[in-house]
Amino acid sequence: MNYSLSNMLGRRMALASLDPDAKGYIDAVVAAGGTVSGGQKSAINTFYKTGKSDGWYSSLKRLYLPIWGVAAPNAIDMIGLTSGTFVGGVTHSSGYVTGNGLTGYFDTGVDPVTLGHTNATGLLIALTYISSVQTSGGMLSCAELLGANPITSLQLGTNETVGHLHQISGRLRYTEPGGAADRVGIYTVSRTATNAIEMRRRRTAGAIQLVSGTSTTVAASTRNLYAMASNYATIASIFNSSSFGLYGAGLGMSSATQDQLSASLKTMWEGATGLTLP
Amino acid sequence: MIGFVVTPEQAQAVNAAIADAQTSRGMPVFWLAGSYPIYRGQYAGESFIPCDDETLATPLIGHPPQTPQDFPEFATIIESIGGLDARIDIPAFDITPPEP
Repeated sequence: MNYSLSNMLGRRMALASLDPDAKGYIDAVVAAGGTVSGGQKSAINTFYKTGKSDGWYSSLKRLYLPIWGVAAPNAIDMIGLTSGTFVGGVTHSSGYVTGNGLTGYFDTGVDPVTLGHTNATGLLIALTYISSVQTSGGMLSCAELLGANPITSLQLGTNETVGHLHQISGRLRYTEPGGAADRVGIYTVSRTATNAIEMRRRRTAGAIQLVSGTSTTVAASTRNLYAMASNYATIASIFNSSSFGLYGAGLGMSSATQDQLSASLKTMWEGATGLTLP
Repeated sequence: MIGFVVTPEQAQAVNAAIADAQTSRGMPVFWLAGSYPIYRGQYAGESFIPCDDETLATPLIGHPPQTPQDFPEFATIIESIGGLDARIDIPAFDITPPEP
């Protein structure tokens, strides 16, 4: 009897302490057919609470956690609870989604300008769990015209990772020492000033700066950001067949704040999936 | 690449019908089959709608998840473009956009 009472009280206290935004997201996932365990609720709740106490939560404008194995809950934005759209060949696995590299992508339904990106601020995030060995592919990307800049993207090049934030030149390139299959981890590319852009990556071993630059910017793109491909003026292109555990966008952050965010993303994703980031 | 080769207008109509199947149930449009311009080959100028077995088995919504084939609109939409037997296999290169 005492155990039952204590157990019930414990559950009520855990429910009462659920962050309201965490509750809103979890409810939306369940309504769309996702099954959320107690451990997953805890991991998601901790993410929201940490973001609010650390102060970086308000800089996030879109964040997708496609771990539920079903398209509808995978399409829900954790920040505003709006839905993006999966298009073409995308496999929904437990813990991640994988494009087929030919037709599959995710249309966030929102462009960098609407997200608040300017020539002095912007942030893109992507967690690559398994990198395909294809030569190139968009992780989260859009551009104004086919073959023209400005480009806003996190992208995989041949044996490298590439970041752009509203640039007309001077893209950030980081050569992966292990080749194409080594392009895994939580990537962030952030702009905090007109001439300050940085790309970082977190793995289990820790977070590092991959590359930084001082290229000037132009106006941000008004094309919707696509995940698993690039959106060149509404034509999906350079499809990516890697496996992604999350992707999102927001406003520019310092190096230290990017690392706080990526640490919390890692903890949430691992806690909610049971998988381990390389 | 297994799917339907249709006119751009038909491709647009098919995806609009798929979107309607979601919005008419009060849901956002979270999944589309998509349509892709065919850039080269014997069908150049037409549009391609991917529709292989994996696409047909995509877990869309609910628990257990419903797939596209579980929606009553599915048969009507597929029939409007000739039925599943009208699907063909085209080289992926034919729908690969020119290098940006």
